[in-house]
Amino acid sequence: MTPPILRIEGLHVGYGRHRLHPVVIDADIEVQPGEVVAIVGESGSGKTTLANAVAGLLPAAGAITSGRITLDGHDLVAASERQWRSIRGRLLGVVPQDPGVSLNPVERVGSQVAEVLQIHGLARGRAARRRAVELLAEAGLTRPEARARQFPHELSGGMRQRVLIAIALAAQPRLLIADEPTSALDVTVQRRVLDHLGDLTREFGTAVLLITHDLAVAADRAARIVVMSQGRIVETGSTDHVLRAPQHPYTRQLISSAPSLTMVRPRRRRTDEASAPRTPVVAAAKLVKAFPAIEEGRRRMTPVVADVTFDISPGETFAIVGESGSGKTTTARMVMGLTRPTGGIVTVNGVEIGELPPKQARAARRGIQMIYQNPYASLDPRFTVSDIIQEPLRAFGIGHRTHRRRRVAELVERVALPAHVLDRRPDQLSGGQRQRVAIARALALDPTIVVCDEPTSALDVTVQAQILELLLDLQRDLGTAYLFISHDLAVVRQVADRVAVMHNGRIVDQGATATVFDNPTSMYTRELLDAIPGKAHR
Amino acid sequence: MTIATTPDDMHGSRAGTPPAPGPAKQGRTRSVPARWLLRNPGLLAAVAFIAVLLGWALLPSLFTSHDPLRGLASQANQAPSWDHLFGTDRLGRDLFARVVHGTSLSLRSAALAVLVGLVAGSSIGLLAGFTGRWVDDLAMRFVDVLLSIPGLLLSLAVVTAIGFGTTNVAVAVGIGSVASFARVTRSEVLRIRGATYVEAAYASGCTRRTVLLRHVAPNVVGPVLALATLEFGTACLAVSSLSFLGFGAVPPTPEWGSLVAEGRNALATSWWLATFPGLAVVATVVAANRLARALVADPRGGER
Repeated sequence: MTPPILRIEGLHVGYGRHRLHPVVIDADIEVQPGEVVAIVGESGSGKTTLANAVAGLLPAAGAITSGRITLDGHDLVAASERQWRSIRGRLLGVVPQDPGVSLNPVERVGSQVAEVLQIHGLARGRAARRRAVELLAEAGLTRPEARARQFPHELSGGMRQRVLIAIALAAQPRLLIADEPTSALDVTVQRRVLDHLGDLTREFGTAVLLITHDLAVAADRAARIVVMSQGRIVETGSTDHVLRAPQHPYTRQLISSAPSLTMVRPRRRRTDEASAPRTPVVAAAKLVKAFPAIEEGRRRMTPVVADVTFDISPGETFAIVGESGSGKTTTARMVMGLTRPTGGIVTVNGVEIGELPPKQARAARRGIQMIYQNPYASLDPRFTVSDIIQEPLRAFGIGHRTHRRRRVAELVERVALPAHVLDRRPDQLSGGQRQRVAIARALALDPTIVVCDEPTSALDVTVQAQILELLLDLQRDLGTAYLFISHDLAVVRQVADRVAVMHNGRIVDQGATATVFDNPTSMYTRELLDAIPGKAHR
Repeated sequence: MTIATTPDDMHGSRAGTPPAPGPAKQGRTRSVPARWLLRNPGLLAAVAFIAVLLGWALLPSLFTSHDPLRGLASQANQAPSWDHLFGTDRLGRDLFARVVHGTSLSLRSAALAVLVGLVAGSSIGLLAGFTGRWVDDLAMRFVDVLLSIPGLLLSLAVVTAIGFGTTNVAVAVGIGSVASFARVTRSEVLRIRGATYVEAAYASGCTRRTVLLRHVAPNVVGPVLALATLEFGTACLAVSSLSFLGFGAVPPTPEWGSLVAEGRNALATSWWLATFPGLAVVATVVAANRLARALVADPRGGER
């Protein structure tokens, strides 16, 4: 057996200026040449810190307290800044997490790729530029000559990530560290980028250390998986072994929480209710929203949502699925009355919201509430939890103080939060707890429908599972209908009764969840379903 | 909830606060301000100086036994000594006593100036930022007009129009700072107005007035207060400048700006006369700036 390309032994990393707080504890990892190893964990597990320690990119407050990192015979812990310069790029490439901010915005992408070649003396001048174009082509960019002359803002997220991959692989490093390389990308783009990354590293024989929160992505791409939790490696093994016979309880929890890995129990429809026709809580008819944009030098209205028609019955979950830019959030905002449609009609609880004067529109809000994607942004940082949940009651002048207090306590219990959080502020709560507060606020007025805009995509996977569970429980008890907006088909399959798939502002597929998932009628839906990671291991 | 669900974000580790679940955190938070102050000697000095200033302003006779208005002709034009810390002027008045007794007037003028700027400026900013459309355009063009005139010149013009005197000087200086308050308030309002929690408030049925009073205004306060502290230093300087030019305090009354003006005539023979009041102004401005910077840097914006 060949010696490993990367060997991490007994690594401890700590943060803090005065007293070091351990973030990575006693990590041992070996990566063989050409092998793909995934480090999986939730935020706060120390996986990014571990990757940064290997890449020599720890922030000023972080330090390696003990242990050894050996890359191809070089001791990385003791390496001087000068030695690092020859190691980075040459032996070690890094694909950073966020393609939006990782490229220099004022330099053409071609010269950013050529820079690596020049630094390592692999090519200069015209030759470097030519090689850069080749590298961009290898990274899967179409029309690479034209792309090389463009600036980062002219490229989409997926294209930028390909440029970053081209930069990382330019000097053909022995090891590539990819820190969440695709979590900012849409699922179909994610699949294409990861496919390409896999092909390239196989071709060059590059070993890959893939850092991801998504167990399904790891399952698809890695030969071995390292599971981290609270700074410690809790499990290591071949991908098959870890997924089929997880040893550690945390790994088991992670696997059961990952929606795309778990066999989904088909959502039970309450047939008795479905059979009886009832007035829909939301009815959208031929909704259109267009924004003015400049196209070919002329101002014209560009439709973001076109001809969208659906209705939602009481107590059911209707999901709109789509990638970014598909118009799903705009549709939700029109239903909420936060955005005025350019054409078409939305009726909520039998009232047409768009046509009402402000005062009555506000009154109509009682029946429709919203849960936002990011619980870190949707709660006023200066309010206590009690004030936040009371706000809708106060806004409609419902009850007096003691009555409201009682209602808030009841709601907090409903969303399974301990009573002592009532006097806390959002910054003292975890993400999952904040989202529970947001749910309690949305339920305060007993709405007939709650619009959930990606309610779990900002949360860790185990927390996500708990929140989805809570939403389903509440629906069963209260009979609230949900309009569920999501990019995650796996999540939607778990919660939705009916699904609409949106693409470029239009609904391309609509029907009962099982029908759409098993017999998709449009090409796009099929592509979307194929792109769900973790397929091979279901 | 289990610890595994605490989403302390490892990627945000730049803040240097790794996840520390558990009770250990609670005991520490209380002593943080004190320790934080000790770790910033510059800030500590600024706070101490401002405390001394407040003492001078409220109880000047506690700090000096000399009379600021009456001097002994025999002790005229003495250089600084233990008896007369800052020396004496040509009428034999103790300069330290005059500086200490002048504090109250100088600080009061500066505070009044900041108050005028704060109230007028942030009202304009709040209205412009929250109402938007033509109100915003109108208010901001008015602010542009204010900005196009150099601040001190504007104050000069105002004070000539409304008459001399310390109060008028303060009001004039305040009018000169309306523009910056309006701008900062407006940009903060625009930032907060776009925040998700504000939209969430509308979505849960709040009226515009409730949103403005309960969500937008309180969240704007932090940065605007920091600006007020910063403006306090500038106002101090502007009030002194106008007094120096002779628009402010009438001669026997001590005021820092007029003290510098008086001392200027004797700069060649008695350097201390202009220097010490000038240093008092400089130290106040620096201390106020340091404090303002700390308010901005403190993630809580000095809200609690």
